[in-house]
Amino acid sequence: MQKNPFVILKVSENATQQEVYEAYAELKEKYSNDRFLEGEKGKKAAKKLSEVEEAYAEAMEILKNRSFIEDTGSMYGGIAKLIKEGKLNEAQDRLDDMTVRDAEWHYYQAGIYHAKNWLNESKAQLEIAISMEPSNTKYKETLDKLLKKMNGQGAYSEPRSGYERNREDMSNAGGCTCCDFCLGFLCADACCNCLGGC
Amino acid sequence: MFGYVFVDKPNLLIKDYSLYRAYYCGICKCLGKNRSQLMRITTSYDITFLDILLHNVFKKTPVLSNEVCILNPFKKKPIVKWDDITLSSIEANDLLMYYKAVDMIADKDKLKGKTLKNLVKKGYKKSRKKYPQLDELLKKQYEKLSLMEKEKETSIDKVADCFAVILTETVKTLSKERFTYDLGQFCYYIGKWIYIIDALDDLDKDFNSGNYNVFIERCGNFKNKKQFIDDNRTEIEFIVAGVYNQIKDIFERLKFDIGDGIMTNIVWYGLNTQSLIVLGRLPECRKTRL
Repeated sequence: MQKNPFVILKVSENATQQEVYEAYAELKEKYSNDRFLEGEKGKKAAKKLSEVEEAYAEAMEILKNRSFIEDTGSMYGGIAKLIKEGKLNEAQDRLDDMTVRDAEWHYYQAGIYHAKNWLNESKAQLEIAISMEPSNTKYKETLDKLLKKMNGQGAYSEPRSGYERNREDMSNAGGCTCCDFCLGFLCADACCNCLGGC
Repeated sequence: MFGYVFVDKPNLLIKDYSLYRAYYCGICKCLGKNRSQLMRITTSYDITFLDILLHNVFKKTPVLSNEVCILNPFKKKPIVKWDDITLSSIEANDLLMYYKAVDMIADKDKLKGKTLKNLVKKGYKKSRKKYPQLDELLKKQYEKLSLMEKEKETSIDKVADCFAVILTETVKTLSKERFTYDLGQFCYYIGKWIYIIDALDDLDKDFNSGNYNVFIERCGNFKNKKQFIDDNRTEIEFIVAGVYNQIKDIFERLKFDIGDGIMTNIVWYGLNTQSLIVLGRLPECRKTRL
């Protein structure tokens, strides 16, 4: 029902980041030229161009999320593929079927949890994997990647719509106004704001 | 509804405040016209948030007009004229409030629950006809939640997921073909945040009434809210920050043509303030919530 970014970019759902970029670059060039055509054709091309831009951003985000864990090439390889394709229930079933729960098993479980946005559970699984195989650098790197994500990325120093980030004098520290007490009471609130407001 | 997704008023620009109120009033009028005069009391800032979000999804500029309010017929004020998007927001509100009422009754909050259920029943029946799949899904999710409560689930992610999916699927249904991956992620983490903050806020209430609370199940040794949060502060703040940081990150990728100021204030200030209040780091000024 919703617009699939991979469909808009005319690549398969399993495309790599490189393939997505190449498809995007090609379509962008086409529509960037076409939008200077006269009349309807130009308008359509301009619309398509912004559609392609949005689809590219979305597809890259989806791919970034999918590449959280790497295929270790072992018998778990099939599971990594299922996670990348978004078939999480199948991947979970396959994992549940395994009787040996070694470090790698926990690594893939972390991958499934990450795909479901269960970041705390994912972290717990990675920690178990590391405790079972402390020498494995890949597990540590993945945990670092997860912790970095959980701590938030990027500096939001850019103001947005008139608001500045990182203000120390945040809100209620200055105490409440009578309006805050009114807020729960519809009538008083309405009076407060309707009769001139504060 | 829950009342946690709210702006930070002291840091809100007045133009954004006027627009925020205008949307709120628009919802109230929409409820009056399409449901009943009594249903207007269910207007909440949560549904206002949903309404603004959906107007952005459909890129529909709100039409403002000066009208009077039922509570003050002497002064005209700007309100957003309700449209089909507002209508879909209040229909979602019917479904969400109905299942919340059912949940309250199960949680031994019988009086409030029954009152709320009777209030929204008529609207719920109308909305259920329009969104049967969403209704089914909400029912299943609340059943899942109920089961986890009975089994005393300790995993925050697992339990909060039920509620996060409720919000995501609601927005997905209402957004139709305009739903995007980023929007889904945004709604998921906001839903998760609401569940976590609500659980933390209700620590005392749940403990005293013997209701399930994921944090009490997980950390144990509860005497009172302040002591509990102080004892487990590192873990609890890590969990809350984890969710809030995701909301902030995803928000960077979303473009709001309409009401971007309101949304920025909610995400950067409002949610943060609510988190800090519940974690006991700021004085609590707001006590009533529906």
